[in-house]
Amino acid sequence: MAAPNIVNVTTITGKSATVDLSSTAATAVLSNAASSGKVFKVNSLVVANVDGSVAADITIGFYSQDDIGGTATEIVSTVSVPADASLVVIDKNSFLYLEEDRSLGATAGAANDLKVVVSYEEIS
Amino acid sequence: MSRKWPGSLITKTKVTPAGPLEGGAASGVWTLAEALQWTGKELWPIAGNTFTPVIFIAGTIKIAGVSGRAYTISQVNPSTTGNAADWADITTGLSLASNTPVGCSSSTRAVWGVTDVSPYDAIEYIDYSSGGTAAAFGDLLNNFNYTGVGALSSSTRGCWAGGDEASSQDVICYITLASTGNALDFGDPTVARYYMIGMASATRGLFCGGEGGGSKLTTVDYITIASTGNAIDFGDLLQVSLFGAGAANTVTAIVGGGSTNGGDSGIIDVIQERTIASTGDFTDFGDLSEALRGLAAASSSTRVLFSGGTTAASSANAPYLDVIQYVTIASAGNAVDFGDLLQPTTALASASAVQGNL
Repeated sequence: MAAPNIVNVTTITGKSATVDLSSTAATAVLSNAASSGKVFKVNSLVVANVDGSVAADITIGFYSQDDIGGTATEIVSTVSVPADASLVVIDKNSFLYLEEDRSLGATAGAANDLKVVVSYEEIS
Repeated sequence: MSRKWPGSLITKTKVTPAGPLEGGAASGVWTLAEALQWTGKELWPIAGNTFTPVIFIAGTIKIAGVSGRAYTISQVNPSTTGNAADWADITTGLSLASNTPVGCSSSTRAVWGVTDVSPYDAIEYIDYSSGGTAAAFGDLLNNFNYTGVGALSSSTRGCWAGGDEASSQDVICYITLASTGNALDFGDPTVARYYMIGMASATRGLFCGGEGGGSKLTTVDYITIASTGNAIDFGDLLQVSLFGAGAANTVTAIVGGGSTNGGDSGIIDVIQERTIASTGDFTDFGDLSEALRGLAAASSSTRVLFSGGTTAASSANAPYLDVIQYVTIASAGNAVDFGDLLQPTTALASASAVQGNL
């Protein structure tokens, strides 16, 4: 099923998702399955460093397949998030569409320090 | 008060980033653009950026082939080897191009005198815990051109002596490193002179060599850092070392390079040493990688690092070195390669948070 034409959609649902980056491996933040018939408009993606004393690096990738498959194109790469700080990687001035069979992934420089909140519209 | 951000997020008040070390605080929610702005100012905390405790401060560099001033402070870890990394900046417009190192240090703060640009007597400092850009500390004693001043420090006091190519000052002044403010009178060196090299054990400071009264001197004075008073004769250098550099641990003073006559023909590669606790003359320790002047020296408890310098100061095409080399204080011998400065530099200063006498 193809992604919907967004001038003629039937449903727009606001959603949010959270991911705790408990390892330094790439972790799926948001995935749009192949043939979902949906497109996700990602309005914001915020990375918070919950460690109170040490900065941690974050890399956010736009993956060419769902479930962080295929090739990653970095939106930000090893950007340092200071202790007790949050970094706005995506906001409404730089939103992106996540089409079918695409995903967003996050890679932390340190385990258990970074948490990601993504807010998006599921359009079908 | 809350504020609305581009991502429609309501955030708490942001805290200005304190510095580029990974432990620096930067509470709040930041956009990538803001993060990049602070990164450009070298104040955004960087993961993995832990402070390595020997720093090399400013100096003279070649800019498009012409000598110019550097404002960068770089850092290395003296217990390993490797190239220097960018860490912080001195205040733009000031300079350390004095041909002698002028830095002092406690375990938490580096302090240096700004010597050859007006107002000549400025003192700047930077705390090892922060980085960023240096701040004003106070003024050196009197208001003369401190070019050629020598510096040393204990864990609590920093001292500068002599200086002034025109008038050979007989001044020793001091500061309390932990408290910003103007320097106070300490006493007088045994001979009024400039281009002295300073270093210290935990209790005793040495001011070595220099030039005064038309003579190139091997004179070494000592002071007891905790007690103000005039300097006392200690002994003599093995060789005159104008524009050389020195450092020490709790036991041994090391002096490297310099010029025996102040000119290019007298530049030497000699490293000389002396036990600080007993008065007497310096003896041969080893050689630098080549004959150098305008270098800097900093110590840990076991090593002295020499950095930068030039082989021919009077030449318009004088080559500046980016070499960092070191000696192991307990074992006399030649200096070996440590790594590279950010760029070829001469007339730089240095400081060490693990200075060998702390």
